[in-house]
Amino acid sequence: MNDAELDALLARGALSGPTRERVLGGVLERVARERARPGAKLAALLMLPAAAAAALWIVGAQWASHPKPADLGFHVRGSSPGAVRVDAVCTGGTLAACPRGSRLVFHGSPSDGPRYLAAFADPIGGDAVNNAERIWYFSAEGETPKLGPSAVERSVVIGPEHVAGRYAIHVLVSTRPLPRAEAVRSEGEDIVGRESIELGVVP
Amino acid sequence: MTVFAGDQDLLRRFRAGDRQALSTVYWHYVDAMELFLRGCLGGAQRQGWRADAELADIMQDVFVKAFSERARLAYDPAREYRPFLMTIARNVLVDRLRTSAREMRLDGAAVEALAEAAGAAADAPAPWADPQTMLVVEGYLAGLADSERAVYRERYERCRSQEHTAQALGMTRQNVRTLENRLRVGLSRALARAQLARVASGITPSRGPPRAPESGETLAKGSLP
Repeated sequence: MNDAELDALLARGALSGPTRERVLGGVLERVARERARPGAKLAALLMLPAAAAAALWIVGAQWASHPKPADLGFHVRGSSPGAVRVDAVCTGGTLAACPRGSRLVFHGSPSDGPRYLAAFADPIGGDAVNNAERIWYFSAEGETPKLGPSAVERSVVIGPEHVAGRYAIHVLVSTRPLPRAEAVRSEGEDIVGRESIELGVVP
Repeated sequence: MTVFAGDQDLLRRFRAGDRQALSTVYWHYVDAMELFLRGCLGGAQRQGWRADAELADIMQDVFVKAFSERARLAYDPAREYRPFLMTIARNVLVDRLRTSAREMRLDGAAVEALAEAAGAAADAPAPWADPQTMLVVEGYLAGLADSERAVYRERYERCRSQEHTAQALGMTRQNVRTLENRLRVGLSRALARAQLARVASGITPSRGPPRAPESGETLAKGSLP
């Protein structure tokens, strides 16, 4: 049993003090992010011409040195038209230090057609996660949240299978539910969006 | 009485989105909000781990909406804050029910498949509905030391914040955290001992062991495909 479950048991089903604190942590984090957005948007607008020029230069340089980029990886945000944006929030702390027992809430922006979410976490090197395994949150073999005209939120518990350490959470948005093998390959026309989110799990 | 009564500074900081002010408002209304949401969800919701997880999720959504800049500035301080907050809660609940109804309608087959695959475990009764488990919990709580019992009352019966608990008991927050962890570890051990005793005596628990509801656990430990 993780801390959240023990807390629920100790409180006999009520939302205990610790649980309420986890909820408040999530609220404050999301409110803070909303506050940060207008500034970020303004900064993005101001920086747009310079960023576009820099991006063109980088892409050109990479193309010259690697004419056939085999794999764009998971680092591309909104890589195709109509891509759906997915964010994640840790309810018990921050993404950099998310305590075990917290919830990781995935927030998918509205999409113009049915879209499906696949997500898994890969440990990022280091002694702390030596024995950690890939952890699946969403795939066709289990649950694949469906995105549509409204924003969608799904949460998962950061349970005991999460060894303390850093993880790269790979999120894919596709036009059909993706089996695990395809999600890992991350190729194909069905994939319309990719996100890579870094998560630090703490005890 | 509204939390802002006679406290213009709190209202000013709340409107500015100050974290401490938001926390004060949250803790002032969290009891009422839990009661309200439980009342609304009671008949329609499943019981068990998932229902409680949903309650926490909905509560978070309500306060995120209530603490958004738009809502903070829309609040009229000449009026009570509680009805304003409950109206937001009602809207969040209606939105959520509409969304789930739409998902059911559009994706009925997938939902059915999911329900077959994972529903049984997720809808398992919560352990506080299991008399055997609750006997273990009650027995464990009866044996608490005074300091542990005091923290237990504040944190799990009155459901107060760590800060409030520390103030009320004249402890540091670190003391509260330590005792809280001790409570969890103690209960975990008591449950494990009881489980062993049941297995040794050949008694099978009337319900399966409590499980977390989320896919992060039910689908976890995946291997490379």
